[in-house]
Amino acid sequence: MSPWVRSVRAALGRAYPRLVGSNRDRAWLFYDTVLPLLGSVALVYVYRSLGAPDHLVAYAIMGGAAMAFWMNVLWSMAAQFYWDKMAGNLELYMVVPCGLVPILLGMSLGGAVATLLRAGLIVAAGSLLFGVPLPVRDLGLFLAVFAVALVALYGLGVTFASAFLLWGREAWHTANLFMEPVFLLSGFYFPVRALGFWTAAAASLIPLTLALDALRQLMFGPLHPAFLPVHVELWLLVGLAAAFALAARASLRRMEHLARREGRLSLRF
Amino acid sequence: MPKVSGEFAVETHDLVRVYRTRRARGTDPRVVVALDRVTLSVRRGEFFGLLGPNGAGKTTLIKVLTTLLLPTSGTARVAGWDVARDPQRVRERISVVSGGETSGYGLLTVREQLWMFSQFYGIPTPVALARIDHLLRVVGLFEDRNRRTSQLSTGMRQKMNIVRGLLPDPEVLFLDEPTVGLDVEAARDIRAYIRSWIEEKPGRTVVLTTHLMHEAEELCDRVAIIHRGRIVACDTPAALRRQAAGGTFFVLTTDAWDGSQPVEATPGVLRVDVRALSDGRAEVRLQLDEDATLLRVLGALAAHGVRVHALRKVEPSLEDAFVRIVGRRMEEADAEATP
Amino acid sequence: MRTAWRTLRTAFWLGWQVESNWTDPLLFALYQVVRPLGGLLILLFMVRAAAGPAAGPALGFLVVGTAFWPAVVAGMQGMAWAVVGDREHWRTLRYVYTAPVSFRAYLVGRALALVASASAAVAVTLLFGWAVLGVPLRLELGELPYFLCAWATGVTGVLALGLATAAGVLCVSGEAWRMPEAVGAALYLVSGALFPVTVLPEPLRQVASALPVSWWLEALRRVWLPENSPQSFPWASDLQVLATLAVLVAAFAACGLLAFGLSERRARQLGILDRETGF
Repeated sequence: MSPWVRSVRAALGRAYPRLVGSNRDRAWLFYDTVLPLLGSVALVYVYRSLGAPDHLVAYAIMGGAAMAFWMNVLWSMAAQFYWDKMAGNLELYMVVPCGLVPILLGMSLGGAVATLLRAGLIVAAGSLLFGVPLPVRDLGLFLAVFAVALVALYGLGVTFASAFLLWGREAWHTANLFMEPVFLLSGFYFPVRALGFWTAAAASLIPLTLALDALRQLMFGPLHPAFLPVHVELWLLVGLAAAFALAARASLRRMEHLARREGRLSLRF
Repeated sequence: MPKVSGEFAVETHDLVRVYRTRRARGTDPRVVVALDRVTLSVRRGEFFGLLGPNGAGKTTLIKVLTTLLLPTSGTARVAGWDVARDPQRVRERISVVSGGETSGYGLLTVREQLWMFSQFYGIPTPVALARIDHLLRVVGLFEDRNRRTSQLSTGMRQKMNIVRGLLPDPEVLFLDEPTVGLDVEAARDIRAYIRSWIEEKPGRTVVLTTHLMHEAEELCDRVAIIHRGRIVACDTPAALRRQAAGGTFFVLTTDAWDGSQPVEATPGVLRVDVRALSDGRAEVRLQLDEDATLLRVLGALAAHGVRVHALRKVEPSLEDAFVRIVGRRMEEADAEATP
Repeated sequence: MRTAWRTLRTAFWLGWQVESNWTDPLLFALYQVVRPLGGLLILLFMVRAAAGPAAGPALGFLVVGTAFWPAVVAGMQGMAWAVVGDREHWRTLRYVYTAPVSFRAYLVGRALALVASASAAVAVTLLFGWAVLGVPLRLELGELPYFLCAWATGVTGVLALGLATAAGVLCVSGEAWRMPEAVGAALYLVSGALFPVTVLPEPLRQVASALPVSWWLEALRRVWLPENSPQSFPWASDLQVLATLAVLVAAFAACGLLAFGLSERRARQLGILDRETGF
């Protein structure tokens, strides 16, 4: 059998639990949609209490959608190998012939599709609740930025998956450290340019930073204080996607090396 | 790297695995030799057992053979492929099931879970589903195929794990304490099925680790006894038992045994094992140099006022072989290994 | 009573160990303050995006709300997390539950450990707001009894909410670990953590008025902020705020105890008290 065929089957196999998960346990849908939405609504009211214009309210709603993706990447990608290790799956993954890459791709695919639905619901509900229009000026470019950002974002998730296992004693705590600081640095709820050029540039290592900035430019035009031009951000996202693919490979190799040669799965004892 | 030998499913030569663990930062690493120059060969089609107490190195050996761990030195081949240099080739030919496994995703049904794992081996879906249904019927889990795995009992879960291990139809199946924690009936079902599975198709090989003597005796064509990382004996169960037959074995049922009875000091007594019975009596297993020694033992007991209620001569067991080879009983070795 | 105190003390110690000993003290300290400070800075940049650098009194309102919020989360979610963690992760729930000690005292101890560890975040955020953001925070000596009284009553109220949440968690599995998070998010929205509840639509404002957390945060703001700061309940005097808080806390404590008792009974009836989900 061709390794490619096996890899595709393995990826689809691993994506399956993610896809049926939302359907089978509806609570997931509630928690993954309503929770980010509640957070966003609270921030919408902050903007409203300050008399902010509609596009800032839209930022808060978009922040909720970005949060759904980030939570998925953190808790269901980055921390996943940790959960898998605890459940006893990781050892099995390491002895199956397809290898870890298709399994991670499957996790990403399933996670991205399921989260796309949740993020869509968040944006729709937020927009309807507060009567905020969400115009898109160049749909083709908008979708291109979104798609590339997703690839880069889940590439980061794949990199984190083994990195968390190598570095963390408790993935729970490590993931928690990447919550508010990332919401801040990526400008989930405000224009990232407010952080200053160099901070925003450093924060651009997180694909959501560039993605949100580009998408906001494509939605609100000159109302949005842009960090970089959209096409530059798109190419940077392409670069990030490629870089994370390489980083993920190196990180996986390091993990396999530690697991097989040193008999442990963490850099710490 | 081409296959080197077609005769053996598993071959190891001078296999060494050393762990270095650090208890705290800044301290010198503690070196633990988990495998110490292990050399063994398992023929294709063989049901091979690794018998040893906790911490003997059984699981480390399985981990090396299933590509989870690299050897520190020495070589290991599985299905003809080197585990260090060709792990991918090895993985295509093996499967592993461990006892007490909780792997999988609770929200999936039994059938879905097994299908997911089949995809990691690239098995086409129709083939995989047919195979899953067949195996579930064989292990008696077909009626529960649509139950979520989070709702399975320990025994059912282990049966599902066995099916997962058999799904890719491996050349070599590694079973690491597969019946640990199971009730008697479930353990018997699993043993019976594994035995029939290996006989179903020539060339299938099973490597089983266990610390249950009766399991090794019932299932294995050959057994290697592993102790402190070394293979200290390797033969058929019958041959191992014969090795223990350095004398003759008797089992006595006596009054309560308080340890003061002068049996061990009796000339010709090689070993005495005592087990307290629920009715307050004791079962005393004696290894003697010859039958005539029994008379001296009985005389000593009578002089001490101990009544003997029953007496029978027994064949040496694998346990006796283990005791002779390792120098202590399995439970004693387990207790010694437990920190 | 002595047993309950001993249980509480042991649970507090255990909660502290679970909370803190996963890493070295430096990283733990960083971990304690990074999230609340991150949250505060997000709000700072939002305020600046909407109102420019002259954010005025709104910033003080946000600082106090953000500073004390970790204590709300810790107290409210601590009990529920103790149930979920002991049941699903540590698998010790059945042993704790069957031990001859008060399970409620055990949960209170676990939650208080989290409140204690959150106190560092409270202090650092207040300090950051005062020293870096220039918010006119103050705690006058004369107001210290009011503050201590409000603090103690508020923590009790938060624990009562926690007991009610733990009651819910006892009867659900699977996604139970997210239930406390959901309760926290709902409270975050309606209890005036970030903005005066007067901004909310009428039905939500009514809900806010019935929650001890809203009154607790209001009482704390009255201690820490100047008089011209925005308020959630501008019609109430300081004493009225404290009295309402006390009444609501008593009501929630009674409801929490009742809910927990009923839930415990139900979980035992269904046989799910120590059921692991295996997710």
